This record gives sequence, C-alpha cells and structure tokens, in this order.
Amino acid sequence: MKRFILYFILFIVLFLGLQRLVVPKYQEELVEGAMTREYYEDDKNHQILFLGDCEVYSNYSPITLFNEFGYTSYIRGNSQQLMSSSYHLLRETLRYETPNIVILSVNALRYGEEYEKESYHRLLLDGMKNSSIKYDLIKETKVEGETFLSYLFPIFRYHSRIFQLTSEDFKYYFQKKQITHNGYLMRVDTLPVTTIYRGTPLSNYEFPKENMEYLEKIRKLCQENDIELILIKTPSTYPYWYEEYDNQVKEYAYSNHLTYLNLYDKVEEMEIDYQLDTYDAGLHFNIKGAEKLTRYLGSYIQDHYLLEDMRRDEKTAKKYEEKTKYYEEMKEEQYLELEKYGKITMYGGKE
Amino acid sequence: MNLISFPFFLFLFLVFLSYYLIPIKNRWVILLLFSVLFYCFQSNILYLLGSSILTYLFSVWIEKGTSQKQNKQKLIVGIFIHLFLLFTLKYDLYRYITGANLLVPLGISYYTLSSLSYLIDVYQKKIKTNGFFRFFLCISFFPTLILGPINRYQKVEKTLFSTPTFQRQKIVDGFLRILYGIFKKLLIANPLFLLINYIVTENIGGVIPILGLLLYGIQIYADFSGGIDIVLGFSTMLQIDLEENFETPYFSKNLTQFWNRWHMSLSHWLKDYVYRPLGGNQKGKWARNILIVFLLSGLWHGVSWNFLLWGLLSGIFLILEKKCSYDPKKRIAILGNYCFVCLLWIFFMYPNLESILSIFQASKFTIPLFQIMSPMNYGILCLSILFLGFVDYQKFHQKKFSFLGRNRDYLLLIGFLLVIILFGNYGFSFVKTDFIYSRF
Repeated sequence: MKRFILYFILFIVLFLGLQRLVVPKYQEELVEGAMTREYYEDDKNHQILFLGDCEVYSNYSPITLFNEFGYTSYIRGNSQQLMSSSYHLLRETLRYETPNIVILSVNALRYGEEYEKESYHRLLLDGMKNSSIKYDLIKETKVEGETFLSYLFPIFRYHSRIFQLTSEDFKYYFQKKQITHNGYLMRVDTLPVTTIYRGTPLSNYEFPKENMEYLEKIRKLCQENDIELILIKTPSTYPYWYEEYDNQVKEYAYSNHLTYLNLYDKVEEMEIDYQLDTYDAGLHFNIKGAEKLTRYLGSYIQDHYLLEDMRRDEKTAKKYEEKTKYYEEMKEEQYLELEKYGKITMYGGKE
Repeated sequence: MNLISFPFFLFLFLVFLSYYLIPIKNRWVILLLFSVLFYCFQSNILYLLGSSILTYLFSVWIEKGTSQKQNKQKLIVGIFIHLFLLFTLKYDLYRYITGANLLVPLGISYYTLSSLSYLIDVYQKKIKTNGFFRFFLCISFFPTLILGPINRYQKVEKTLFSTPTFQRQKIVDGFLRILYGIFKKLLIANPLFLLINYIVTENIGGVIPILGLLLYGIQIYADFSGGIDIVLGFSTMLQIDLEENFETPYFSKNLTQFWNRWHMSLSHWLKDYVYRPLGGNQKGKWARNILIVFLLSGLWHGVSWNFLLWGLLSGIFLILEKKCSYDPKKRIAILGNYCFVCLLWIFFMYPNLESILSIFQASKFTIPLFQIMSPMNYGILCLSILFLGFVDYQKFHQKKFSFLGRNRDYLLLIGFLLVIILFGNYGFSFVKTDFIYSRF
C-alpha cells in the first residue's frame, strides 16, 4: 500500500507538472488569454465594471478613469466575448464584489453562431477559476468537440503542444507577468484609417434571440443587485454598426429605462482622430484614443451618477499610484519597442 | 459510446465498483443490469431482447424434444430466424424491400453468432439451458457488444457466473491491458488513419498505395486488437475469462498460422459451427469447406463485393497453400506472409471496388507527409510501432518485462498513462475516429 501511495503521488506530480508545461501561458505571443485570470489577482472594490468583447478591453483605460475622475473600475472583457459569457462573468464578479455601475458593450448582440468558436472560448475560460459558474458557462457555450474534462484538466486539450513548446512556456512556468491594466490591453502603435466602410445590406438585421435573452438576464441581475446598467457602443469603422442594430438597442434601453450611449455620435466631441488614435485602421483604439474615450465616459458618469472619488481613500490611491507607475512604464516600453522595431512585438509587462 | 471516451470509462468505473461491492453470487446480476443499461443508452434493446427470447425458447424446446429429427427441424428454423433478422437489420434487406431505413442494432453481428452457438450447443447437448437471464447476460455482456470477441456460453459460463476469489494482480493486469489497448489505438491506429485516409480519399497512385497497405496492416491490427485489449482488460479486472482474439498474428509464417491467430473468436466459431459440420478436413471436401467458411467470413463483415472478394481470395490462397504444403521454417517467411496478408487488406482499406480500380487512373503520386503530421508525430508513431512489435515479440516468445524488476506494474502504469496523455491522438484538435471493427 505504501508503494502504491508513493507511485500515485509520483504520477500526480508528473501529471500536474506536465499539464502546467503544455498549457499556453498567454504572456508574449497570444496575450488575450491572460485577461480572465488577472481579475482574481486584483483588489475587489471596483465601482465600475466593464463587460464585453474587444470593444471594452481595447478602448477604455481604468487607470485614466481613476487618475482623472477617481473611479475604480475593471474590464472583464475577452476577444469575441459572447453575451452569455458576459452574463456568467457578471455572475462570477458578484460573488466577489458588487459594483455601482456595469457598462456593457452591445457589440456582441450581433454575434451569431459563427462567432462561437472553441479558440475564443479557450481564451476566456482557460484562466477562469473552477466553479459552478464556469460549468454553466461551458455548458451554454461549448461547441462540438469541447468537453468539460478538458477544461478541468487542460492537458487533455493542449497535450499536442508538447512538440510546439517555446521559451515562453519555460520562462513563465512558475510565474506570470501582468499583461493588462485592470483588464485594459494597452497598444501605443498607430495604423491610420484608410477606408471608411459602408455596410452591405443584410437579409436579417434582428439580433439573435438568445443574445437578447442574455441581455435581459444581465439587466435583471443588475436590478436585483441595485446596479446601474449602462449600454454602450464604441465607435469603430468596421464591422459596420447598422442603424437597424442601433434601433433595437435604443428600443430595449427605452423600454427598460436604461442608458444607452452610442459614442459614434460623439467622435468629434471626443476629438477622435482616426489618423492617430487607432492601431488597426479603425477597429480598435490605441492608447491615445482609449484615453480620449475614457475621459468622455468619465465626465458622463461624473455628470449623471453619484460615485465617490476614491482618490481620497489613501489605500486605494496608493494602490493606483503603483498601477499608474506600471502603466507609464509599459507605455514607455512599447514606444521604445515601436521606435526600435517599427511594431509592437511584446506587450512589456511586469515580471 | 466509444470505447475510448470519458463516459465509457466512467461507466466502467461504476460497473467495477458495484461489481466488487456486492456478494459474489449476485455479481452476474449487476453485470446484467449494467449491460441492459449500456444497451439502452446506445440502441433499441427490443431487437436484442426479442432475438434472445426466441433463441432461449427454441433452446428449451429443442432440449425437451425427444425426436432427433424434430430437433433438427427446430434448429434449422431457429437458425433461419436469426439469419433472417441479421440480413433484414444489418444487410439492408428491409431497406431493399420497403425502401425505409432501420437502425442497425448495436452488436448484431456479434450477438447473432453468440445466439447461434448457444442454440447449436444445446442441440448437440454440449450445454444445458440454465435460465434465460444467464443466457441473456452471455450474449449482451456490454464490453463485447462493440468489437467482440464473440462469446460462447460454454466458454464463459465458468467465470461469468461464479467469480473466483479476489486477486489484486488480475486487477493490475487488466488495467495495464486496457492502457495498452488505448496506447495502440491512440498512438498507432489513429495517426496511421490520417495517412491511410489521405491515400484513399485523395486517390493517390503509384507505389504509395502499396506502402499504404503495409501500414494499413499495422493500423487494422492496432485498432482491432487495441479495442479487444480494452474489452479483455476490463473483463480481466472483473476476473472473467473471455476468448482471446489475437495471438501475435503477424508472427505467422503462412496463412494457416495467420488465420489461427487473427480474430480467433470468429475463426473458431466458423471452424466449429460451419467447417466441421460440413465435413471438416475430409478428403474431397476440405477445399470446398474452406471456401464456404471464408465466403461466410467475408459476408459477416458486410454484403459488398469488397468483402466477398476478400473472403474468396483468402480462401483460394489458403487452399493453394495447403495443396502445396507450404510451411516454411525460415524467419524471413514472417515478412513475406505479412506482405501477403497486407495485400488482401486492400478490400478493407478502400471502401469499394471502384475506388480500388481508380488507383490505376490516379493523377497524384506523392503525399505531403508533413502536412498530414509533424516530423515529431512521425517519430512518436515509429517508436510506438516498434514498441508494439517488441511487445508482440516478447509475447510470441512468452517473455515478460522482467527487466523492470518488482516495480514493473507501477512503472508500466505510470509510463503508459503519461505517454497516452501526452502523445495520444485524441482531443479537440484531432480527427475523431471510430474503431474499424465497430462498423461490422
């Protein structure tokens, strides 16, 4: 029996050790998978919670929001984050904290089945803590071939990476660096807009029914927890945001007494320059654009909601001082990288 | 439920726990319940149940009969009913007549032969009827429903209904065998499938199909024997002795040896219930009997020209071998025999005769090896094949891995588990492939 226990422990150690080795680290090449995990490492006293896809994690800077308005915030956004995922991430967040405001990007309302991809589910779920909420999220979003077991033991999904290991896998085996700034993924590079897309007519403009159901679930959850829900659409030159889309959101917001901010109308007011403020020709904003957007949003919240200025809280101010330092360091590193290589290859980041 | 899937392993675990938690005399009841449950998950149990009730009623009827002539008539009717059901359900006779599709019941090829052997054995007074449920367990024993082996009441009743006292070593051996089966399927058969599938679907010509056939010989062996290892491994864990299906078949020096070691439960069945009753080795009859047996064997795999030709040619070559008294002593004959057997696998590798003939009109003669798999994957595949050969060699010479010392079992368990988990061809990024013999 003693020998059995010894060998069993040996197996478990080897199994977990190998699992850690083959699972993607999301530190250098594909950083978008680091976002969900980083939330757990932050203090849980956020006044504002952003939910949505890349339109939130690329376009709003919680550090700017704190430094200029005194609001603590976190972005729980992931690439192509579905409405169902936003709902479950909100449920999970509420286990840790209750923000005053939830700002939900409505971009994902247009996502149909073609957006349900295992690779995107992985980016969101790989860093998520095991819980009944994660189980629900997997159950509701998994596509053919995805299994619960492979989320519980990711080695069953990533075992073939054993032949594709890079220095990143060994460098970050024990410790990972911080990639985002309260969920914001910084980019300082610029790729100007050259083409203004006009939307081609669609056969059906109606949002998938399932997405609207999840929006309703999010609204109810916010209502139950006394949270203000703000719907937001961030400007982007593509994919095209049709008027028919906008009308559906407006109608929903109106009938449920919600605020809907369509920032397309505010581009001039925010002084957005599409030649300087975007890093991918208009889909996402770079740091300059993101800071402009954040300033507009901050002043909107200041004008319409009563939130405490947390800069007056010594502990929080000190924490954000550190965060700001790291934010500025990364900004500087990225500019240096840009100058040296002409593009961003690494995201900087604290070891 | 695939033999290599989490739900199946969970099911095995539950059976295993329940089996050892209840008193010995009732264990077979647990197996019966789980077998029924397993079948209900997979398929419509009514066919299996109906066919079993019929078999059992006929067996009792035959057993109670006093007239040999009448018993023979009953037996013929019983056999006819089974063959009718088999042809109707499996070989699309129903669709041919009515145009409508029927769902093929799981394991019909296997349980039909088990039922027939029961009926014939009762007729020949080799066994006595001993309760319907015992018989029902024998033919519906769940691990054997997907790939066999073909259960014969006479051979399994001893351990199926009265388990010997608990033996820890049997559980370890059984578990190791399951892992070895998974290893064969995931590290050899599945990667080879990618190569073979490319050759077949892209209609590659030249020498590639010949190389493909040599590899297909390994694929079908790793696939079928791997599945059987899982089945027999689990049975060993329950201390139930089932018939072996393979005995290092590719170490045979001629076809006679090969057919005595390949898919043994089917070969033995055909030998006992077809070949011998037809006259067996009697002068003037043996060649005809061999031909009938191989044609039936081909038909058992499916009603298609492919399998019919495979059976016919296998039979003819075996007759020629016996006529020439070909029984080489040199080891090199093993290689020759392997190549010959592989040539006959062409009827399994290609889906139909048209695709075989289209090889001669192929316009592509190369395959993008490294687009199909990475060099490292080929490395792992080669090592795995070498390991399979090494294990078979050890088995052929009746040796064990004694060099691993007293920690042999633990080291093998950990080694197999980690190798399978890391290098196995499974999961989201791999093509899901069923066992070849699960479609027969």
